[in-house]
Amino acid sequence: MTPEDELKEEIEAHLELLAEEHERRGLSREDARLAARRDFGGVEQMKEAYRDQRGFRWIDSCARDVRYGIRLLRKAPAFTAVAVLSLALGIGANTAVFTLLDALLLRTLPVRDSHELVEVTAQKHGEFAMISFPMYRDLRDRQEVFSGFLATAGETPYHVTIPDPAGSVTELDNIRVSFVTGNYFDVLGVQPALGRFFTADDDRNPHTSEAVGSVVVLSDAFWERQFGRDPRILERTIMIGRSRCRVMGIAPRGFSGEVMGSSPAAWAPLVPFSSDDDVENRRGVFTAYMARLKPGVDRVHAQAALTVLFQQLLRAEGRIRDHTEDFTIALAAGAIGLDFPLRRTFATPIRIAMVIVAVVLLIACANVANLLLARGAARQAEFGVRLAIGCSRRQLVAQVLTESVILSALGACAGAAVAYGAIGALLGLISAGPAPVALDVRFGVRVFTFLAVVAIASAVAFGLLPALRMTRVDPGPALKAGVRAGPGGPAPQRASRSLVILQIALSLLLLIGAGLLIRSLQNLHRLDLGFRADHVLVFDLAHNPQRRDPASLSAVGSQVLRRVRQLPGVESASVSGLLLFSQSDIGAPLRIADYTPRPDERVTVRYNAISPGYLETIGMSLVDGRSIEDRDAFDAPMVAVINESMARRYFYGSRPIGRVMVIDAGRADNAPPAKPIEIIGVVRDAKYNSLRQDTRPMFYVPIAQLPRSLRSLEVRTGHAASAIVAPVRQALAEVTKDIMIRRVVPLTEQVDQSLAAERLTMRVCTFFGCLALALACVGLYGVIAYAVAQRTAEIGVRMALGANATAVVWLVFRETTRVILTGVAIGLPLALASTRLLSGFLYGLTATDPVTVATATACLVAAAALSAYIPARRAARVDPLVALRAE
Amino acid sequence: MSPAPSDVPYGTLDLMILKTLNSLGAQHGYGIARRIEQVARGLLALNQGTIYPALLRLEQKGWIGCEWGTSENNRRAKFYAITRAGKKQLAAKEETWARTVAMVKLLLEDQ
Repeated sequence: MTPEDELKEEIEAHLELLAEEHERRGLSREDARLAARRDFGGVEQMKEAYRDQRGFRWIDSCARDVRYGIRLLRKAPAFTAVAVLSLALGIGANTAVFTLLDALLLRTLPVRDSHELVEVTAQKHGEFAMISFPMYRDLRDRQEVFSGFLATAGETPYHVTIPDPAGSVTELDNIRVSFVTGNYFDVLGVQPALGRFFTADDDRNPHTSEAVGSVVVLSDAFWERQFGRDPRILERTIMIGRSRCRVMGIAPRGFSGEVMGSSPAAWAPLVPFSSDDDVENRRGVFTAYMARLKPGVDRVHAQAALTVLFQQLLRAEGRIRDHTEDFTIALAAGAIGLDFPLRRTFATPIRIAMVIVAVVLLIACANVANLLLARGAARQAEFGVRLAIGCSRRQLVAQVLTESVILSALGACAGAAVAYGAIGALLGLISAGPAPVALDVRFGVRVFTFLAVVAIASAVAFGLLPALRMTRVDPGPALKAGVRAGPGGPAPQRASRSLVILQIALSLLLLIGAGLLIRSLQNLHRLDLGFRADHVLVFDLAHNPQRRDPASLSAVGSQVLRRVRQLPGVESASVSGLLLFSQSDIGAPLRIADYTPRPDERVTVRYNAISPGYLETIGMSLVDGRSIEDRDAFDAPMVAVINESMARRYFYGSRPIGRVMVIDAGRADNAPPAKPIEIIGVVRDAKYNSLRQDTRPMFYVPIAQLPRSLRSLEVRTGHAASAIVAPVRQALAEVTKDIMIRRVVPLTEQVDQSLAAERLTMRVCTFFGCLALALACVGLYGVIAYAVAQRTAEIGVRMALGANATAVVWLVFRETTRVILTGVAIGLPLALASTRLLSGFLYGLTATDPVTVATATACLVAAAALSAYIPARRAARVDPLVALRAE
Repeated sequence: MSPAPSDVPYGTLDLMILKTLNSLGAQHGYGIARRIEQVARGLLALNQGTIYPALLRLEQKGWIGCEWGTSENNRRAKFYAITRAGKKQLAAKEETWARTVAMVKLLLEDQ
């Protein structure tokens, strides 16, 4: 029963009792009822008073304020449009960036008790150190702090063959399969949507999945796409690469693995799909690790316990001879999934973007506040009347705030549309990065809450000051001034001038940031790469790890090259073990003849395994000796080409050609005794992983002599990419089904992708810097135009007394100059203090680069002066006669 | 001729209600209104409806409590009763009122 019903019932009971009383005194039933009504008094009046007492009045008056506010806003469509547009841009930008931030950094994995998950890495003095797969097994079996400890080799694209029961066969390329240890689903605590998940029992027997088959779990999306959610899927077998795999279960909808931003089609047990070399090699790493803490065990404790165990195991292993105490285990929170390129690359840019859009929203709010103030000046008479007839100031403030809330609600609605578009644009910028993106950017509860909070906060931010200012009215003078625009007076003028100063300061901040980022990118683009990236197509390859034995690798590589080189339009082609600008690295510990390392120095040099033709294809130039050729085959003497940095570093300027070095296999490895490698050439220094990196020592060995994997195929061609890709794909498929093309990119683009984070930050900062400047200019224009309108009479008098147009323009400009200069004076130190945020993205200049600061300031001053020039001109055109007559 | 019934003096209705509830115990709205009228013996023009906002106000202040019960004509009705805080308030108000009356009386006699 509602309070309103209760009240009604109470009144009825009262009236009835009263009527009965009157009846007892001898009145007729009808008369008694009338008499009861009379004695009771006005029922509606009483209800009204009762509701007032209860607080209904508040809701009533709120509804009235809303109605009134809407009517007012409809009467001023231009004001409403400008205000809503400003807010929509501000709120929309914030929502878009937050949506991304949410998807990338906040959302937790859809697994059981995700807060218990940790990412396990090893570190040496804060730098990443490796945990090999055998080391993982030892740690897993002996640790006592985790309830489960999994390893994952991540996604690999595979050729998948699906035989249909009817007899036909579907062949699919580039299906992403994630290889994980048998305890994977158990550790994550995920329940199958259908069938069951594989266990440790299925994750054994390396090298046998091709012979005896294995099992696979499909993702919900893949099950839907390929099998139409057919429940009989569990009886079927599909081929992953060359292995027959029984479909064992379906992962629940929404589960896309342990890496945010990836979405594998299937999961298969790791060991049967990995080479012996991978799972038994203590010198390499191909897996990432995640674990679930036992209930009640905290991260710090677990970290300490594992570090002790890790150091013990390292000593037992004997691979690292000394300083094992430098190695530690680090446990990072794993609730939001493993840290992969996407997050690593974009976490900081997204956070910076969040700051930027917050500043933009602040500027937009200042703009709307200014508009409200200007309107308030025109509404002085209205407020005066309302105060005079007994409206309280509080009610007036509530009224004005209600208008603000309506504006921001409209802004939020339009902002959601803006956000929708902006998310697309931002995702585009992120997808240009190093990793494929499968980010789920739907508007979740968190995003909606954020939108609502931002809308309300901005309503208060832009509404409160005007509401307080506007309602500070003395009814007397306000009424006397009449309906004609009120006096305005110095107070609101000062308030709106401060807002414009704030806007100018904040815009300057963003403009300087944008300028710094633009100039850094220019610097980065101007860098000498050390190779010629134009006209080179790079094929990013994925190689079936089971088929990575050296002999077949070598053979496959040369077969592929032979085919590709015959294709029309191909000028030269090569294969290599590392993809340029891909963040991957291989280093080899070396013993170099005639070079004596310092006592604590370990000579580890990065290398790449390349086929003949590599240097020519990517356009590196040889400065001495010869390049790697066909004669440097598997069984020929081992050779290497080194870069200038290596020559300088280890040969002190003497000619390195003919000198010898040995890859230092270490004590513990039972590898065959290392063969000497003869240096046959020196190549120019080149950038390898990123533009920012200083060139480091590096050497190149023939892929035939040190085959580990085929990671990249490079093709130099005068033809368009589209004309080359299909024939190369065809040629590759004819040679082997063990190599998949992940993607094809022009080398220029591959280089450019390493700047995706910089570019995202630069675009966001530039776009919003310009937007902020535009908003600030509109604000300044408004304030100056208003000031001119206020001073029309004064200007008229001055002109009548002989002031010329220039003098009048200067009169207005003097004020403008003061506003702009104050804004700059506040903005500059603010900018210099906060651009340090960007320092990680800058190249070739400091965060306080004077040229950039000066240029940005000049741009801002020019734009601001221009926007004040229009009202100043108008002031100069004031006709003294007209102005004076109006008084 | 008896004097014309006067309006309820501002601020006294609360006092009257508290007093009524204190002496009669739990009562519904009608009972309270009738009692006040009876005691005033026609000296007071009470719109009976006006006691409800007053009852709500007293309830919000915690001076009276209420619960649903059954009236003498077997209807559901809300019964009000004075609380401990209400009794304290009543005592304080009675004293203030007595002082006010005494003061006004002195002033009037002085003329």
